[in-house]
Amino acid sequence: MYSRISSAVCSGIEGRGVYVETDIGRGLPGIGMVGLPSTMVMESRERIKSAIINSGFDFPKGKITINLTPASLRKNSSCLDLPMAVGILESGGCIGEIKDGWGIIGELSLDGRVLGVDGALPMMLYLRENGMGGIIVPADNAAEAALAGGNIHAVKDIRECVDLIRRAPEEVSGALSRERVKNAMEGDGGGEAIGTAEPDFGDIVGQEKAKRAVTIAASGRHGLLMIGSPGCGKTMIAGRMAGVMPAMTERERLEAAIVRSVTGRSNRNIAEIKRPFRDPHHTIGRAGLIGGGSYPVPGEITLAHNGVLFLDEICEFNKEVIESLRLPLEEKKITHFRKGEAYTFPSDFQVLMAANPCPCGFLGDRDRECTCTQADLDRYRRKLSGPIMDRIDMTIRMEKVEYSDLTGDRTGLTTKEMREQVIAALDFAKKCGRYGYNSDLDEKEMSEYCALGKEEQAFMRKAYSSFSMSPRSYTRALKVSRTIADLDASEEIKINHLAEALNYRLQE
Amino acid sequence: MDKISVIDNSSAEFPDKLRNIPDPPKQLYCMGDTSLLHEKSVGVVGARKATLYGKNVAIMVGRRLAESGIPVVSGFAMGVDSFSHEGALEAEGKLIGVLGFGMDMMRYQGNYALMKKCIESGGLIVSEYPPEMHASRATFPQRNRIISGISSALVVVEAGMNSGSLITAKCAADQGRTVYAVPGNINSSTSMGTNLLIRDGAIPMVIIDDLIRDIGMEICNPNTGGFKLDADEEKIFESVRTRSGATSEEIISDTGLSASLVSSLITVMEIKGIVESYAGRIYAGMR
Repeated sequence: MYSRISSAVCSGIEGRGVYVETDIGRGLPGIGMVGLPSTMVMESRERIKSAIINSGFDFPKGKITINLTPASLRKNSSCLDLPMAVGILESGGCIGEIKDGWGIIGELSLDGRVLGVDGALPMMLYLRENGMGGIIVPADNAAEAALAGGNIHAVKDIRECVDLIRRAPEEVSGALSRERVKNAMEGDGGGEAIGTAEPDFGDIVGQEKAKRAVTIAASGRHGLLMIGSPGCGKTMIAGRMAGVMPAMTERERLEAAIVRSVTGRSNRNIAEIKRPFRDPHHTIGRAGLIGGGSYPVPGEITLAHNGVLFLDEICEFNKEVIESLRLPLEEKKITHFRKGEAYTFPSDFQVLMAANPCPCGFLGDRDRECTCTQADLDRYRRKLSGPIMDRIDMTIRMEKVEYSDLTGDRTGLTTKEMREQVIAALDFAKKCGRYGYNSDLDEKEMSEYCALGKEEQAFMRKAYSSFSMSPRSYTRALKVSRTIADLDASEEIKINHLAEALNYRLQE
Repeated sequence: MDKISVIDNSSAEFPDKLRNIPDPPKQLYCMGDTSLLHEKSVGVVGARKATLYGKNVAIMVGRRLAESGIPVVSGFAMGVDSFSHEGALEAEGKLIGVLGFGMDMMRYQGNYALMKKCIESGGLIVSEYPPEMHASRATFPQRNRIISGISSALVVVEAGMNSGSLITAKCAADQGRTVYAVPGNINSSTSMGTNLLIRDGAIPMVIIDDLIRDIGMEICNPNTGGFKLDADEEKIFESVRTRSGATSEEIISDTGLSASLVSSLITVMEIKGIVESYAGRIYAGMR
């Protein structure tokens, strides 16, 4: 007998529809599988057989053929275990007829339990958007179901699943809703603690210049490079930057949830997603950073989507790894091509970098002597130029704050105040008709929004020659000054805005 | 670049001051204006890894000498040598560079751009080595005797304990040239050599014009324009001066001004040349 079950797999970060066709005919017992299954899918034969028998069903006799369509799509997911098992049961006549309109995903354990899968969220989204009346997911993925919306039901084992799908989707009540998921989580202790105290900029005293730079960078999404001796607080600043950005929109939250779902980082309070902050170590490889693999998975840049990517010790990174950032930074997405398929991952992030002033870290430090030779310094400077600096609009030098400077009664900016400034600047820009970030302004937009008055032009001419700037650094300074003017709620760029922007140029 | 001419030890073009040193070169390969060899000139040498102090003093000395029309002799090394030449070029002065290798090797040097500028601005480059000669460990100390030999006086700006500049100073002393040394902090490793030179009898270089008078040249004063500071700029300048080099954070905490205002004022003051930033600190400018 023939059976057809709707399911989905996750390809890259997209859900793709798959039909599981099962046919049982006469012949030697066994399961044959076609339709580009990966090794992971082939192995499910053993799981399915044990799971069915251990759930108390009869395993149909005869030659079982399973076809996964579309045949051209490579399938690499254990989430097809459950639909295949159900398909075998239906076509073997063990459970009667399955009603139409169900989409099923889930991995099987040998004892018949249904286990969670990676990438459940994009699969659910696909099934919902493609007219599935009801969706069956593993209980472990219930939290993600709340984000997907629709008539979604979580099951713990095959029996629960079979009970549901013998009824039509409309007849079944008790779908997962956001409230139910939330309540259920609070009921059983709630997994990871929610609302742990985020570090605040208010804890950092005396780095007012750095805080100002972070505010500007976040307002215009300008790449920011911090140069300073070890221990001057670069990492502290970086860890707090995501907090300065505006709260995530619903769409951004969903995008972040999808990426986490695919990379298996979906925790139980996925609804509580904050702006991501990623700080990969400098030993990371290309695939780790931009994603890769024969079935491509997202890398750090995609995990940092809509958040902050912090590259500490930027000069220690492999040059090719940094070079690979060029395209995603420009296009805000990265596409991998594997075996005739294109996998596109989003990568729209705020880039933040930190470097020591020299290899030993103490060049220009008052207390410690720099032990680097001239050749060391030259090599280091060369590393700091080129592909890295193309990505950076702003540079600041940071110095350790002396204890005596900390004793004043000055209270510095807090994260909340900085975030309010950023939001005000973004709102002002929108009022002026600019909806993107200032770092993305193209030439035409720049001539419209960054036009300078006569005095300002004269000032920039003087600056251009005094600081021996290049056309590129000029453009960068202009973009940054546009953001500073936004923070000042000024439609025109004035000399003080330009002067401040120039202070963030890369200096010797 | 220009053609290379050869001046033999015995020709009239060969400067007497160089012929009379203990171990004169047999010939000089020259590129540029050879008449500079007969003018009174001053050698300025010092550490490759100069501090901002050394850099500023070297530029000051180079500029001041150039303003009085005195060619600056140096060895085209990184650091003080280059800075003194840059200072002289700023004031449109003439340079004399002495190479520690043959002239064909110039293009492989890190300082090739400066060498080109030297010729373009009417300066002179000399070497005792044939054009195809490579640099070696021995050639650099050897050329130091020519630097001091051409010069009427020698200024050592910054030198560590083992600096090659000390060899030049010794040559100069042996050749009967006056040696000036720029004093530095006694706990600064880059001023150790110059301070020792002073202990051993070199003249401490305190006022640059003294040196110009001593070699019998006249001092020329170019017009220097003053600058006015507003109240906030004055506060910032005060903070920079009292701390002798301040970070932005220190200025912000000293003056009580906002980070954005301090950043923009510093840029304006940098353009005016009132302050200068170097390795993360803001210093009082030279002008």
